[in-house]
Amino acid sequence: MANDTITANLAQNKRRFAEIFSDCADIKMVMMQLGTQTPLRCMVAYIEIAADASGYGSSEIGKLLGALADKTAQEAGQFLEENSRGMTDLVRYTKLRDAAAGLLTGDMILFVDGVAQAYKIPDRGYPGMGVQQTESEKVTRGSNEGFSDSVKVNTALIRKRLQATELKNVERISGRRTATLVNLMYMDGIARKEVLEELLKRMGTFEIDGILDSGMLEQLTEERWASPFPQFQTTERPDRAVHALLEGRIVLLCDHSPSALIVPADCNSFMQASDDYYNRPQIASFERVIRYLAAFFALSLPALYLALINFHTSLLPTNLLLTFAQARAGVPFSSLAELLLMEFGFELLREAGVRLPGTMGNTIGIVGGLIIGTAAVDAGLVSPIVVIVVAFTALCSFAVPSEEFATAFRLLKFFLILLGAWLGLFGYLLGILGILIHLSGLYSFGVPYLMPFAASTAENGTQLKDSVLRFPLFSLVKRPVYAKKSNRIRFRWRDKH
Amino acid sequence: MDLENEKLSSRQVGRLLFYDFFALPTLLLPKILTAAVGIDGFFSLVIGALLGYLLLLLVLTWLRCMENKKIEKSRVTAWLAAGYWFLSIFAAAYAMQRLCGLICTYLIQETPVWLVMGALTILAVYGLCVGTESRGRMYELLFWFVLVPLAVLCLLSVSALEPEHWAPVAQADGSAFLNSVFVAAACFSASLSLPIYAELLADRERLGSALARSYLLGSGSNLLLFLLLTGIFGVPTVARMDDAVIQLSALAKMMGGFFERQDALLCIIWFLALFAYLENMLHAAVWSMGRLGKQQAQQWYVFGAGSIVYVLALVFYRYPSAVQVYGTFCLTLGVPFLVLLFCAALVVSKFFKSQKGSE
Repeated sequence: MANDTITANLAQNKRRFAEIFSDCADIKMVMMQLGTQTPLRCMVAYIEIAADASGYGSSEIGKLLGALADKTAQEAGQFLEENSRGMTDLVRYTKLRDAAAGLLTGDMILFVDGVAQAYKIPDRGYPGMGVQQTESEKVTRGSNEGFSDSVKVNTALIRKRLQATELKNVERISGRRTATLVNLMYMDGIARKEVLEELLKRMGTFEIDGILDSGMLEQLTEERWASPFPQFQTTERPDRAVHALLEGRIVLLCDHSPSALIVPADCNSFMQASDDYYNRPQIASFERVIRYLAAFFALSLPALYLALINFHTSLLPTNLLLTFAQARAGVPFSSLAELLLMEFGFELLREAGVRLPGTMGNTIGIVGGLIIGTAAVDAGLVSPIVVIVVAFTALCSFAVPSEEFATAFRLLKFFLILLGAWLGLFGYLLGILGILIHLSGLYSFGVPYLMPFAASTAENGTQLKDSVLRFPLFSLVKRPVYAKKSNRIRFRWRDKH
Repeated sequence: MDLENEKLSSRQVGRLLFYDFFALPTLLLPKILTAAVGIDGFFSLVIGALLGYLLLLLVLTWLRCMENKKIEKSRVTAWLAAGYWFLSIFAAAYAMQRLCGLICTYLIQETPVWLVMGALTILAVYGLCVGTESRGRMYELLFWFVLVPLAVLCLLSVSALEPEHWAPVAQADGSAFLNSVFVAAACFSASLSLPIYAELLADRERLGSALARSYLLGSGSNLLLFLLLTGIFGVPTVARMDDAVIQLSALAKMMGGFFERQDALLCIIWFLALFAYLENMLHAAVWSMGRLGKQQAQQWYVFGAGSIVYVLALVFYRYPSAVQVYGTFCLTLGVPFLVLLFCAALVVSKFFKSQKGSE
């Protein structure tokens, strides 16, 4: 690459290094002057959270700078060349791109005026496993590292996984009184610039006292507030965020929030889990099929149950119908009231379980599920079939990987229950069609929500390879539609396979 | 952003028209054809499908001739739009009446018709309000929810087939056969609504193949269902049966013992297909209104067309003789008028093209 060689001119090196890391708010470049007799100018570049920038004195870099303080440029060059401090991990670079790659490993890079080399100095490095473990989005395979409350740590966690100079980090302040730091990360050349511009534009359209969590930003920047479906994907997993960045999406990190927002999103992205890509394609595909079925049942089962037992009993075999009738014998409420009572009870348990501290929350689940459920059946208040329907529906809603997406199903389930109880299967069909019409008109930053199931011709159907079924990684050659059209290839064999 | 452009892909247009080729013909033709010409109705269906395909090619050729040409508002285009509006509004009302009939027969017998029609109208109007691109996307997806259960239904019914019901053939007299061919061809004339989608097309190159696929699938389903129905129930029974395809689903037995009768479940296929057809016709009516009046008042046209369809469908439901009149009008005037108009338009545009070439 032209002009890639490090020169003895520090100002020139700084300018070209800054060009490489343009729009990277987390990369810091500090110019300093060492010594007083013959001042020596140098520059230290580092990733904000990865370097122990607050206390140079006690760190390796601090000791090195101290040793260089009274040296001329020539002596400093000699000193560094001989590695007079005997650092085991000191690496010399003559190319700027190599120095940039060295910086991205989490260490510091030192440039000295008059020396045509850069030096990688070992420092604290990226935040490690001690950061935080994810509470949600658990996986059977893969890292359990999760985002923390600090946006600085979170950007570093992403950089740790994605050591590319194309990873850009735009910083904004939101909230008039809270001055909350918001970072937008994207891959230059892969992400669509218009999505970034739209997001920045929307962030600039409001003024608010305080932004306390990414959820507030989400609500203020989404397109359709009235939709129960999330238009931003959220994650607490850095690996998930990196995967999204590599697909050409934009990750929005907000200070004091462990949830990163990802845009654009579609209904398929909400059904994917991180370990889908770590497990074998057969297993991942099987799990995805299960999740899609679970989503269908989470939305439909109670409504279908009501429609069948109230309107379409002739559809059921006699034995099954008798079982239902026997189970309902003696229950004083209508089937709708009985179902709503149980659903309400279950929602109450869920809410109580979330608010109570960890172990107590689990206890509430067991007490509610087993004791209250059994007692309600024994008392003849509800039928065992309804308990099964409600429990199965709840189980299905837990299988949906995205909590926000599952919540939309939970809400719409009540809408379908009412329609099913009123107009039977016809009501259920009306509800489903209504939801489909709504979804077909929903967009997330220009991407249709029903992608890749509808409008899949956009990429000749290649998008479907990572939908209900997950094809082998080597066949996922193209990035999804979120990515720039001119840069869609994400996989190729090095030589003929 | 380029993914949100209020345009339809060729495949989406093909899938939208598939419902037109599939929904009403599969419900109407088995009874009409078997009553008129018995098992020879199969041949009427084949010839009718071929004629329908020729019509599709004719409309496609006209579309190619009109590419990059803007049709200016004139008295002729106003009459044409009025004709389209008239046909589509009645077709939508008829679809609504059939849909309501299906629902009240197989799903909820005791619910008032006005309520069922009201709910369907509201949903259809909502569907139109979200935009054509969204509608294309939705029916592109729903296509599989029609096609897969239909394939399952056909597979499950094959075991009840009695091929001796298909004999003897070639017994119908000439004029009755020609009449039945004409009816079949008229049922496959949905490609007449193609010009409505012309200005919404994102990619014209693949339109021909997408439409051919949809047409083959639509007419193929009709042929297959005709064979299955006559092979299972016999010609005399099919000739007397209303909604024979739904009765066919009652015969199919699913594994697992979860359901005793499948007809209520499998009538969902026709529920979805008829609803799509209803929305297509409503869209055509709104499009025509846009050509007759101001383009900006689109939302009001949707509500207007929805209200008219609701009232007309109620009339159709209460007075079945009105349906007869509508059917006769469509067959004798409506469809032939549009076909002749397209032939004339094609001849005129070809003539002008050749004149331009010679100049």
